Amino acid sequence: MRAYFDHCRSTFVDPRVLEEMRPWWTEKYWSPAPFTYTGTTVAEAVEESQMAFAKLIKGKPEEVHFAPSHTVANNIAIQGPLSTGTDELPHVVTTAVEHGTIMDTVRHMEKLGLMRVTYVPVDKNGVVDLDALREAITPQTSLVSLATVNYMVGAIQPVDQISSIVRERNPRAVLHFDITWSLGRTLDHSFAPLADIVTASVERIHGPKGLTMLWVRKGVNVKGPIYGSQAYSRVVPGALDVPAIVGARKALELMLDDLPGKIQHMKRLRDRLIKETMDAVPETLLNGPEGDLRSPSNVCLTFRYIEGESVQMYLDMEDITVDTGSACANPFLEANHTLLAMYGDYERAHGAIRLSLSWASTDEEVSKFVEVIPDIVAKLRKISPLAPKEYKER
Amino acid sequence: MAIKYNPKVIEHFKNPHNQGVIENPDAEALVGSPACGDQIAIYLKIGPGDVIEDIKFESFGCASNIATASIVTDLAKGKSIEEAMEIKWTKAVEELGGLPPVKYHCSVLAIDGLRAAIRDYLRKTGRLKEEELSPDLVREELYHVIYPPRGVDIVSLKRVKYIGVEEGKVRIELSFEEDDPYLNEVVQEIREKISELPGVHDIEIVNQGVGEH
Repeated sequence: MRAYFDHCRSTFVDPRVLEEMRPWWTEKYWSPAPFTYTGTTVAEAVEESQMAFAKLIKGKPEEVHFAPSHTVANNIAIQGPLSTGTDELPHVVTTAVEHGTIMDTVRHMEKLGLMRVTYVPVDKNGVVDLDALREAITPQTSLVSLATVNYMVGAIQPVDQISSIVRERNPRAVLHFDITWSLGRTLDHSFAPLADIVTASVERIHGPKGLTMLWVRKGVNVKGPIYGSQAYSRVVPGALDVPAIVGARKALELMLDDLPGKIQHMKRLRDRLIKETMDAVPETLLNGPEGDLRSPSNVCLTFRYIEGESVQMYLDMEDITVDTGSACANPFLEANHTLLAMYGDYERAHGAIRLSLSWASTDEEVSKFVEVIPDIVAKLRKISPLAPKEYKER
Repeated sequence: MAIKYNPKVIEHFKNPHNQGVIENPDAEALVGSPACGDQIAIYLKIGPGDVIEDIKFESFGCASNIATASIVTDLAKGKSIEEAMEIKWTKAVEELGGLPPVKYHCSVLAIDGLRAAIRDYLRKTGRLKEEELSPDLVREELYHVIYPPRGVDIVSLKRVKYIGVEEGKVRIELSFEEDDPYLNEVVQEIREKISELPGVHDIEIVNQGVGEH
């Protein structure tokens, strides 16, 4: 069986989630509407999901919306609050290590001359530099947007401090948290009291593909960038993907069932992966923080002197799926920007392998990886022009 | 579209030919840069009649980098250095049964490594005619910069609008969309290749954008 270590990108849909979704396609396939049996049946199902997410993040159910994809949700979260009503160019603060759903959006808007962006640096752990954040926020700042856990190295951001700094420096600035990589990876999900907008894709918690919760605090003005019927949501116009919304609630319910146990399980596997790999493979670097500063589901390693796509391909041939920071595996041939921002070291970024877990990950998968990785690294070091002689003679 | 490696590429990746180091080689070269993500070292043993008796390579790179180095060293082995100089990167791609266009630059790097090693041999034997830095020489190099999504070099694609050379200063003007996602990669490749030319002190690369049609 394949060992799958790419849960930070996607997870399988839990069969119980799929079961819950099925009738909303085949029997109760209606649209939400007032008064009628069909319309209200669906509207109530959507409300149940709104309540579940509101309870999780400590917001209000009517503030919960659903977007069809993570990218759409983050585009609304970033572009929606920017209509300043003045001629002044909106100022946005984000970090140097954001996932493409935030990073590519602000970079594009910046290029089009539609916003001014400050990219706050991070420390060697991938944690936001709070002094730099404080300095970046000015009275002109309209939005601060970042992920609460970094997708690449699993750095857990100090959300309480970030929120206090934003409020203290500019109470009018809108604060957006993308909590996608926090979902099911931290015990406490009460992000709403700290923020104004929260997004969360359920694709990483064995929920339906794409669907992303978008919470917007009442009173925060979000307009565009998508227009259409606002019958169901003033924030995300258009018809609702009801089966996915129902499935998201089920995924959340399953996630919360013994969450401490799930986190403990992932932590144990994470620490096994890190320790056993570093014991077996010399000159292995851990990218990102150690211990409790790190997401329980993230492992990011660089094997010195070799390139990540080769490692990924050899692992793939052994039926093991991982991700890499290498430019060679990137469609635009760019090395991972998070690792470059953290270390400024191309070789470290090109050589990085990311293994991401979920509670469905197993000890067998970990053992399979640990068993094959030493030989793969040895083989590639043997042919690397950068590796010291000692690796050539093995 | 699913981008895949064909079985021949995978075979050369898993069991590369001519991999390793030649002790006391007659010539050697290391090409590529960490920024672009791949590097290849080539070692040569040259016999009577300038024939490549043995050739070995090392690679810091992806599967196609290793596979193309494997096939290029196969192609060069037993050939005279003149013949080896004539091997084109398209030949390497053909021998491998094709590569995804986004990976063509790997085969260009392997060919560049081979040529750099041969030049090293000519230099060591006092036969290298150092060419003078000129726009033509720069253009020759730019034929080796591949625009990844098309798998075609930037000169043939008419993306090079101007090449100026003055006292070691090279100015290159390009024509790409401002937000072309491959622009960074192309600029890095140009820098890497042009900085290797004799007499280059400074490189200026300007993207003029795509004119109004």
